[in-house]
Amino acid sequence: MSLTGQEHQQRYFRSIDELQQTPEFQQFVTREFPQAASEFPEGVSRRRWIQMMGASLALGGVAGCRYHREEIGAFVVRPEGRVPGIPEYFATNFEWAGSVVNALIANIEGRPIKVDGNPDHPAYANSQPKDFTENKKLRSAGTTAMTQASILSLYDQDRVANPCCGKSYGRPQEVQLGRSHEQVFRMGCVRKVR
Amino acid sequence: MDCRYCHNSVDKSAHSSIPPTQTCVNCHSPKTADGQAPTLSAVHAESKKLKPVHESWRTGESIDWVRIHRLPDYVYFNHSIHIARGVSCVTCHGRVDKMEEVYQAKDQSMTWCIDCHRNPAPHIRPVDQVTNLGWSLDSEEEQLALGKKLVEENNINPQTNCAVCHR
Repeated sequence: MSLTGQEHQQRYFRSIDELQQTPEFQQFVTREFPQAASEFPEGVSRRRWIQMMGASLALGGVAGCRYHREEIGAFVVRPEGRVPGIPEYFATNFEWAGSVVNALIANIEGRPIKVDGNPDHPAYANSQPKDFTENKKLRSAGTTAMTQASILSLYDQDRVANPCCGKSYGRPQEVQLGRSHEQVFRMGCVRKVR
Repeated sequence: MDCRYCHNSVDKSAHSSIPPTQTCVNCHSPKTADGQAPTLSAVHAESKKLKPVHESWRTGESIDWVRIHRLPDYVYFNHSIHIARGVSCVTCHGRVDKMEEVYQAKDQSMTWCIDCHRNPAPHIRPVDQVTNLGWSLDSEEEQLALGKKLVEENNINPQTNCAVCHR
Protein backbone atom coordinates (compact mmCIF):
# COMPACT_ATOMS: atom_id res chain seq x y z
CA MET A 1 0.00 0.00 0.00
CA SER A 2 2.57 2.49 1.09
CA LEU A 3 4.60 1.85 -2.08
CA THR A 4 1.83 3.19 -4.27
CA GLY A 5 1.07 5.94 -1.85
CA GLN A 6 -2.60 4.91 -1.65
CA GLU A 7 -2.54 5.15 2.10
CA HIS A 8 -2.31 8.89 1.94
CA GLN A 9 -5.03 9.36 -0.60
CA GLN A 10 -8.45 10.52 0.36
CA ARG A 11 -10.69 7.57 1.11
CA TYR A 12 -14.28 7.79 0.05
CA PHE A 13 -16.95 5.65 1.63
CA ARG A 14 -20.68 5.14 1.22
CA SER A 15 -21.49 3.95 4.72
CA ILE A 16 -19.99 3.67 8.17
CA ASP A 17 -19.91 -0.10 7.62
CA GLU A 18 -17.70 0.38 4.59
CA LEU A 19 -15.42 2.78 6.40
CA GLN A 20 -14.92 0.34 9.24
CA GLN A 21 -14.84 -2.70 6.91
CA THR A 22 -17.17 -4.70 9.14
CA PRO A 23 -17.74 -8.43 8.44
CA GLU A 24 -21.33 -7.66 7.38
CA PHE A 25 -20.05 -5.25 4.81
CA GLN A 26 -17.42 -7.67 3.51
CA GLN A 27 -20.12 -10.28 3.06
CA PHE A 28 -22.40 -7.81 1.35
CA VAL A 29 -19.72 -6.93 -1.18
CA THR A 30 -18.71 -10.50 -1.99
CA ARG A 31 -22.23 -11.92 -2.21
CA GLU A 32 -24.89 -10.67 -4.52
CA PHE A 33 -27.68 -11.97 -2.35
CA PRO A 34 -27.90 -12.54 1.40
CA GLN A 35 -27.04 -15.93 2.84
CA ALA A 36 -29.00 -18.91 1.48
CA ALA A 37 -30.95 -16.83 -1.01
CA SER A 38 -28.89 -17.81 -4.04
CA GLU A 39 -28.21 -21.48 -3.33
CA PHE A 40 -30.35 -24.24 -4.72
CA PRO A 41 -30.56 -26.84 -1.94
CA GLU A 42 -28.98 -30.21 -2.79
CA GLY A 43 -30.94 -33.42 -2.53
CA VAL A 44 -34.33 -31.83 -2.99
CA SER A 45 -36.41 -32.73 -5.99
CA ARG A 46 -37.82 -30.03 -8.21
CA ARG A 47 -41.36 -30.97 -7.16
CA ARG A 48 -40.52 -30.74 -3.46
CA TRP A 49 -38.80 -27.42 -4.05
CA ILE A 50 -41.88 -25.91 -5.70
CA GLN A 51 -44.02 -27.23 -2.83
CA MET A 52 -41.79 -25.61 -0.28
CA MET A 53 -41.69 -22.29 -2.06
CA GLY A 54 -45.45 -22.36 -2.49
CA ALA A 55 -45.95 -23.01 1.21
CA SER A 56 -43.58 -20.24 2.27
CA LEU A 57 -45.32 -17.79 -0.03
CA ALA A 58 -48.71 -18.71 1.40
CA LEU A 59 -47.46 -18.50 4.99
CA GLY A 60 -45.74 -15.22 4.22
CA GLY A 61 -49.13 -13.89 3.19
CA VAL A 62 -50.67 -14.99 6.47
CA ALA A 63 -47.94 -13.36 8.53
CA GLY A 64 -48.42 -10.13 6.60
CA CYS A 65 -52.02 -9.79 7.77
CA ARG A 66 -51.03 -8.97 11.34
CA TYR A 67 -48.90 -6.20 12.67
CA HIS A 68 -45.93 -7.47 14.56
CA ARG A 69 -46.04 -6.95 18.28
CA GLU A 70 -44.91 -3.46 19.13
CA GLU A 71 -44.07 -2.15 22.54
CA ILE A 72 -44.14 1.37 23.82
CA GLY A 73 -41.61 2.20 26.50
CA ALA A 74 -43.22 5.05 28.40
CA PHE A 75 -41.35 7.50 30.56
CA VAL A 76 -41.02 6.70 34.23
CA VAL A 77 -41.13 10.41 34.95
CA ARG A 78 -42.15 12.58 32.03
CA PRO A 79 -40.05 15.73 31.67
CA GLU A 80 -41.89 18.76 32.95
CA GLY A 81 -43.87 20.62 30.33
CA ARG A 82 -43.44 17.89 27.72
CA VAL A 83 -46.58 17.10 25.76
CA PRO A 84 -45.94 14.17 23.41
CA GLY A 85 -46.52 15.28 19.82
CA ILE A 86 -46.21 19.00 20.52
CA PRO A 87 -42.86 20.62 19.69
CA GLU A 88 -40.93 22.40 22.40
CA TYR A 89 -38.73 25.38 21.57
CA PHE A 90 -35.38 26.09 23.12
CA ALA A 91 -33.44 29.32 22.73
CA THR A 92 -29.72 28.93 22.38
CA ASN A 93 -26.68 30.72 21.01
CA PHE A 94 -23.74 29.27 19.20
CA GLU A 95 -20.87 30.36 17.05
CA TRP A 96 -20.81 29.37 13.41
CA ALA A 97 -17.99 30.33 11.08
CA GLY A 98 -17.03 33.24 13.24
CA SER A 99 -20.43 34.78 13.71
CA VAL A 100 -22.92 34.45 16.51
CA VAL A 101 -26.20 32.66 15.84
CA ASN A 102 -29.16 33.34 18.13
CA ALA A 103 -31.22 30.29 17.49
CA LEU A 104 -34.57 28.92 18.48
CA ILE A 105 -34.52 25.14 18.10
CA ALA A 106 -37.70 23.15 17.67
CA ASN A 107 -37.57 19.90 19.54
CA ILE A 108 -40.06 17.07 19.31
CA GLU A 109 -40.05 14.07 21.69
CA GLY A 110 -36.60 15.15 22.86
CA ARG A 111 -35.14 15.34 19.37
CA PRO A 112 -34.16 18.63 17.75
CA ILE A 113 -35.73 18.92 14.29
CA LYS A 114 -35.33 22.51 13.13
CA VAL A 115 -32.99 25.43 13.72
CA ASP A 116 -34.38 28.90 13.20
CA GLY A 117 -33.46 32.37 14.32
CA ASN A 118 -34.77 33.54 17.66
CA PRO A 119 -37.11 36.50 17.06
CA ASP A 120 -37.10 37.29 20.79
CA HIS A 121 -33.36 37.80 20.92
CA PRO A 122 -32.62 41.52 21.37
CA ALA A 123 -29.99 41.46 18.63
CA TYR A 124 -32.69 40.51 16.18
CA ALA A 125 -35.75 42.16 17.69
CA ASN A 126 -34.14 45.62 17.82
CA SER A 127 -33.15 45.55 14.20
CA GLN A 128 -36.69 44.93 12.95
CA PRO A 129 -39.56 47.31 12.22
CA LYS A 130 -42.03 47.44 15.09
CA ASP A 131 -44.80 45.81 13.08
CA PHE A 132 -42.67 42.72 12.82
CA THR A 133 -41.77 42.39 16.46
CA GLU A 134 -45.23 43.13 17.79
CA ASN A 135 -47.28 41.06 15.41
CA LYS A 136 -46.94 37.42 16.42
CA LYS A 137 -47.80 36.18 12.95
CA LEU A 138 -45.00 38.14 11.35
CA ARG A 139 -42.46 37.22 13.98
CA SER A 140 -39.70 35.11 12.62
CA ALA A 141 -36.00 35.50 12.45
CA GLY A 142 -33.95 34.68 9.42
CA THR A 143 -31.00 32.35 9.37
CA THR A 144 -28.36 31.39 6.90
CA ALA A 145 -28.30 28.16 4.94
CA MET A 146 -25.41 27.02 7.09
CA THR A 147 -27.38 27.58 10.27
CA GLN A 148 -30.30 25.66 8.79
CA ALA A 149 -27.99 22.78 7.93
CA SER A 150 -26.33 22.81 11.34
CA ILE A 151 -29.17 20.61 12.59
CA LEU A 152 -27.35 17.70 10.91
CA SER A 153 -24.35 18.15 13.17
CA LEU A 154 -26.53 17.24 16.14
CA TYR A 155 -26.97 13.78 14.63
CA ASP A 156 -23.32 13.32 13.73
CA GLN A 157 -22.15 9.94 15.02
CA ASP A 158 -18.71 11.31 15.74
CA ARG A 159 -20.06 14.16 17.79
CA VAL A 160 -18.75 14.29 21.32
CA ALA A 161 -21.58 12.98 23.48
CA ASN A 162 -20.47 14.51 26.76
CA PRO A 163 -18.91 17.75 27.88
CA CYS A 164 -15.14 17.73 27.56
CA CYS A 165 -12.51 19.35 29.61
CA GLY A 166 -8.99 20.03 28.50
CA LYS A 167 -5.86 20.07 30.57
CA SER A 168 -2.88 22.01 29.40
CA TYR A 169 -1.53 18.84 27.75
CA GLY A 170 -2.90 15.65 26.25
CA ARG A 171 -6.32 14.87 24.86
CA PRO A 172 -9.36 16.53 26.34
CA GLN A 173 -11.18 14.17 28.63
CA GLU A 174 -14.88 13.55 28.38
CA VAL A 175 -16.87 14.27 31.48
CA GLN A 176 -19.43 11.52 31.94
CA LEU A 177 -22.85 12.75 32.89
CA GLY A 178 -23.69 12.29 36.51
CA ARG A 179 -20.20 13.06 37.81
CA SER A 180 -20.10 15.07 40.96
CA HIS A 181 -18.56 18.53 41.16
CA GLU A 182 -15.73 17.10 43.19
CA GLN A 183 -14.88 14.52 40.51
CA VAL A 184 -15.04 17.11 37.76
CA PHE A 185 -12.79 19.34 39.78
CA ARG A 186 -10.25 16.55 40.22
CA MET A 187 -10.14 15.99 36.47
CA GLY A 188 -8.71 19.46 36.23
CA CYS A 189 -11.59 21.05 34.33
CA VAL A 190 -12.05 23.84 36.80
CA ARG A 191 -9.34 25.90 38.33
CA LYS A 192 -9.67 27.20 41.79
CA VAL A 193 -10.18 30.93 41.84
CA ARG A 194 -8.63 32.65 44.79
CA MET B 1 -62.60 7.78 36.23
CA ASP B 2 -61.87 10.09 33.32
CA CYS B 3 -59.68 8.68 30.54
CA ARG B 4 -57.77 11.94 30.57
CA TYR B 5 -56.42 11.42 34.06
CA CYS B 6 -53.76 9.19 32.48
CA HIS B 7 -53.99 9.97 28.76
CA ASN B 8 -53.68 13.64 29.53
CA SER B 9 -52.45 14.94 26.19
CA VAL B 10 -55.37 13.52 24.21
CA ASP B 11 -57.16 16.87 23.99
CA LYS B 12 -53.98 18.87 23.35
CA SER B 13 -51.92 16.85 20.95
CA ALA B 14 -52.08 14.38 18.09
CA HIS B 15 -51.07 11.64 20.54
CA SER B 16 -53.14 10.50 23.47
CA SER B 17 -49.79 9.42 24.96
CA ILE B 18 -48.97 6.53 27.25
CA PRO B 19 -48.81 7.80 30.83
CA PRO B 20 -45.45 7.77 32.61
CA THR B 21 -45.05 5.35 35.52
CA GLN B 22 -45.27 8.37 37.79
CA THR B 23 -48.94 8.75 36.88
CA CYS B 24 -49.75 5.12 37.78
CA VAL B 25 -47.90 5.46 41.05
CA ASN B 26 -50.00 8.44 42.10
CA CYS B 27 -52.66 5.87 43.02
CA HIS B 28 -50.87 2.52 42.88
CA SER B 29 -47.72 3.21 44.81
CA PRO B 30 -45.80 0.21 46.11
CA LYS B 31 -44.99 -0.55 49.71
CA THR B 32 -41.70 0.76 50.95
CA ALA B 33 -38.70 -1.58 51.20
CA ASP B 34 -39.29 -2.26 54.92
CA GLY B 35 -42.94 -3.17 54.32
CA GLN B 36 -44.37 0.12 55.48
CA ALA B 37 -47.43 1.64 53.93
CA PRO B 38 -46.55 3.73 50.89
CA THR B 39 -46.26 7.48 51.15
CA LEU B 40 -48.65 8.06 48.28
CA SER B 41 -52.02 6.47 47.82
CA ALA B 42 -52.01 2.67 48.12
CA VAL B 43 -54.66 1.24 45.84
CA HIS B 44 -53.81 -2.47 45.55
CA ALA B 45 -50.28 -1.90 46.83
CA GLU B 46 -49.52 -5.61 46.74
CA SER B 47 -51.35 -6.66 43.58
CA LYS B 48 -49.42 -9.03 41.32
CA LYS B 49 -50.80 -7.32 38.25
CA LEU B 50 -49.14 -4.10 39.33
CA LYS B 51 -45.73 -5.73 39.62
CA PRO B 52 -44.40 -4.25 36.35
CA VAL B 53 -45.46 -0.78 37.54
CA HIS B 54 -43.76 -1.15 40.89
CA GLU B 55 -40.70 -2.69 39.26
CA SER B 56 -40.48 0.25 36.88
CA TRP B 57 -40.85 2.73 39.73
CA ARG B 58 -38.12 1.00 41.72
CA THR B 59 -35.59 0.58 38.90
CA GLY B 60 -36.35 3.59 36.73
CA GLU B 61 -36.78 1.38 33.64
CA SER B 62 -39.72 1.93 31.30
CA ILE B 63 -42.76 -0.28 31.38
CA ASP B 64 -43.06 -1.97 27.99
CA TRP B 65 -46.70 -1.46 27.15
CA VAL B 66 -47.96 -3.60 24.29
CA ARG B 67 -49.37 -1.45 21.56
CA ILE B 68 -52.92 -2.46 20.62
CA HIS B 69 -54.16 0.37 18.43
CA ARG B 70 -51.79 1.11 15.66
CA LEU B 71 -52.33 3.03 12.46
CA PRO B 72 -49.82 2.63 9.65
CA ASP B 73 -47.01 5.17 9.47
CA TYR B 74 -48.53 6.76 6.37
CA VAL B 75 -51.67 7.75 8.25
CA TYR B 76 -51.80 10.97 10.18
CA PHE B 77 -54.32 10.92 12.98
CA ASN B 78 -54.91 13.71 15.47
CA HIS B 79 -56.68 12.82 18.72
CA SER B 80 -57.25 16.37 19.94
CA ILE B 81 -59.49 17.53 17.09
CA HIS B 82 -61.74 14.47 17.44
CA ILE B 83 -62.10 15.06 21.18
CA ALA B 84 -62.76 18.78 20.63
CA ARG B 85 -65.55 18.04 18.14
CA GLY B 86 -67.39 15.44 20.20
CA VAL B 87 -66.17 12.10 18.91
CA SER B 88 -66.04 9.87 21.96
CA CYS B 89 -63.15 7.56 22.89
CA VAL B 90 -65.63 4.70 22.72
CA THR B 91 -66.33 5.34 19.03
CA CYS B 92 -62.87 4.14 18.05
CA HIS B 93 -61.65 2.16 21.09
CA GLY B 94 -64.82 0.41 22.32
CA ARG B 95 -65.69 -0.07 25.97
CA VAL B 96 -62.15 -0.02 27.32
CA ASP B 97 -63.59 0.40 30.83
CA LYS B 98 -65.25 -3.04 30.54
CA MET B 99 -62.26 -4.86 29.08
CA GLU B 100 -60.32 -7.29 31.25
CA GLU B 101 -57.42 -6.91 28.82
CA VAL B 102 -57.55 -4.22 26.15
CA TYR B 103 -58.16 -5.42 22.62
CA GLN B 104 -58.92 -3.71 19.36
CA ALA B 105 -62.70 -3.53 19.30
CA LYS B 106 -63.21 -1.59 16.09
CA ASP B 107 -62.04 -2.02 12.50
CA GLN B 108 -59.90 1.08 12.27
CA SER B 109 -59.69 0.49 8.53
CA MET B 110 -59.76 3.26 5.97
CA THR B 111 -63.39 2.74 4.95
CA TRP B 112 -64.34 2.71 8.60
CA CYS B 113 -62.73 6.13 9.08
CA ILE B 114 -64.28 7.50 5.91
CA ASP B 115 -67.78 6.24 6.77
CA CYS B 116 -67.79 8.55 9.76
CA HIS B 117 -66.11 11.40 7.90
CA ARG B 118 -68.88 11.23 5.28
CA ASN B 119 -71.69 10.95 7.79
CA PRO B 120 -70.60 12.07 11.25
CA ALA B 121 -74.07 12.64 12.78
CA PRO B 122 -74.52 9.13 14.28
CA HIS B 123 -71.21 9.48 16.17
CA ILE B 124 -71.17 13.09 17.39
CA ARG B 125 -72.07 13.72 21.02
CA PRO B 126 -71.85 16.69 23.38
CA VAL B 127 -68.21 17.48 24.08
CA ASP B 128 -68.64 17.09 27.85
CA GLN B 129 -69.70 13.43 27.34
CA VAL B 130 -66.72 12.46 25.20
CA THR B 131 -64.91 10.51 27.90
CA ASN B 132 -68.11 9.07 29.37
CA LEU B 133 -67.90 5.65 27.73
CA GLY B 134 -71.30 4.49 29.00
CA TRP B 135 -73.17 7.49 27.61
CA SER B 136 -75.87 6.96 25.01
CA LEU B 137 -79.26 8.31 24.10
CA ASP B 138 -82.34 6.11 24.30
CA SER B 139 -82.75 5.52 20.60
CA GLU B 140 -80.88 5.81 17.34
CA GLU B 141 -83.33 8.42 16.11
CA GLU B 142 -82.58 10.65 19.08
CA GLN B 143 -78.82 10.27 18.53
CA LEU B 144 -79.22 11.08 14.86
CA ALA B 145 -81.27 14.18 15.64
CA LEU B 146 -78.78 15.37 18.28
CA GLY B 147 -75.84 14.53 16.01
CA LYS B 148 -77.32 16.50 13.14
CA LYS B 149 -77.97 19.44 15.44
CA LEU B 150 -74.40 19.40 16.78
CA VAL B 151 -72.92 19.05 13.29
CA GLU B 152 -74.95 22.07 12.21
CA GLU B 153 -74.22 24.16 15.32
CA ASN B 154 -70.50 23.50 15.51
CA ASN B 155 -70.00 23.58 11.76
CA ILE B 156 -68.48 20.10 11.78
CA ASN B 157 -67.30 19.42 8.29
CA PRO B 158 -64.97 16.42 8.24
CA GLN B 159 -62.77 16.22 5.17
CA THR B 160 -62.50 13.20 2.91
CA ASN B 161 -59.63 14.51 0.86
CA CYS B 162 -56.76 11.96 0.67
CA ALA B 163 -54.26 14.48 1.96
CA VAL B 164 -56.14 14.99 5.22
CA CYS B 165 -54.77 11.72 6.60
CA HIS B 166 -52.10 10.81 4.05
CA ARG B 167 -50.07 13.97 4.29
